[in-house]
Amino acid sequence: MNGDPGRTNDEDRLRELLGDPRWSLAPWPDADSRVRRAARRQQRVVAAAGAMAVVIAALAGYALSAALRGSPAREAASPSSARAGRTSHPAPSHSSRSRKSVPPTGLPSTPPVGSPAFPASIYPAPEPPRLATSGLTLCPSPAGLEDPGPYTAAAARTVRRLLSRRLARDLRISDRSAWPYLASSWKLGGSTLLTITRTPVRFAGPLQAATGVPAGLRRAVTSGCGARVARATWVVSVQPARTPAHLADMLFVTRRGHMLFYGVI
Amino acid sequence: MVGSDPGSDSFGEFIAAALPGLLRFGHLLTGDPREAEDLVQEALVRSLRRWRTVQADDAGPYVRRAMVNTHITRWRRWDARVRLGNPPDRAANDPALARADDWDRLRRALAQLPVRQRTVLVLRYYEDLPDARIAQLMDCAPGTVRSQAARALAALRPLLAGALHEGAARER
Repeated sequence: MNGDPGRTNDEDRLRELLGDPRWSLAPWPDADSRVRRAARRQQRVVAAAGAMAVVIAALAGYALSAALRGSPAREAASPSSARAGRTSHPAPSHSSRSRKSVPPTGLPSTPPVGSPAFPASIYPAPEPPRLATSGLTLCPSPAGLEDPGPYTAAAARTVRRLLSRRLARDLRISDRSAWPYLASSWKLGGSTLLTITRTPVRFAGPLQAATGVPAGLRRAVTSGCGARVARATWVVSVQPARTPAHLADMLFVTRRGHMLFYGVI
Repeated sequence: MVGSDPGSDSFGEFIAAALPGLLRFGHLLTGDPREAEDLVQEALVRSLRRWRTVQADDAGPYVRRAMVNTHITRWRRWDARVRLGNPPDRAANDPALARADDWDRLRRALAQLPVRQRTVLVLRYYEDLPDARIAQLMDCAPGTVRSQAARALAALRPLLAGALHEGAARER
């Protein structure tokens, strides 16, 4: 190694250039307080996220129980005819555990968008995919979408962890384009997402990342849901530890500060 | 709370003494002054949270290690970002400008390198760390450090050779 004069010259020149004073930056005049302020800000964000999760869970439970209650008087009068004529079930499977003799017969209801708990600005109507072959049956509306930022990774981790415990919560933390999937999943007595959310993560990052995201997935989302949705999409790819085959890619978007799950491919 | 740590005075003293070096190290790692400041701030915030533990060891290496890890992780996540343009083919004739271009060309060429290669170069030729220590810092084998350094040097060789010839010509 040392016997190669060309290489030694290169290394010396590199050392010289790396020692150039122009690499120096002016130190901050209030460095100590700046770092402490940033630390306090981070603490506040973490605390606020925790508090927000509690509030969201409580609101979702309340709103969904109100929305899914249906008409108790009519149900009491003619429960069988009411069930037969409806396309949606009055209560999600988790709340009907005490009445195990009455299995769900249709899709669970979805909450009333426009109510304070489900504002239309955060839950706008989904759009049909531009290409039916994209793997997504519905696409998130581009309205209000935000590009991934510094907190996206943590928010996606939180949403993934919260998914598949209760339908009420699933709907609350999902875009409306995922609601039919979630409802049909819960209709089967439990969420099929459960397996995916418990599988080790192989990659998490923006859909537009140069590495880590399968090119086919990027194409599918871009061609199916458009460039705006693709730009805002955060991908969490999961892969079973003992199975080399790739299992699934979970898709998330952030709309007006809310991280929302919107699909699995 | 963060602000009431018993070791707050020593943390302030550490920042006052180490900040210029950390900013420079961050600038070398990232190639961008703003990113360097973000990187240093993030590493210092992490260090402040664990200041009691950090104090016991040498704080400087701890913060530098935090910077290296944060930078590699961040770059992995955001490697789709727009990179700097290609370095120009040759420098201008004015010696002063040529000297300025050497540095600028190196800055741009470093920005073109994969993050691990660039980090190895900075740790090896700026921090003068041995390969074993670099491997420890970057959580990889010493052989990987050597191969990354060789690849990075090979990529920079045309630029460094050009700069060398110009430097020699200026000295004559």
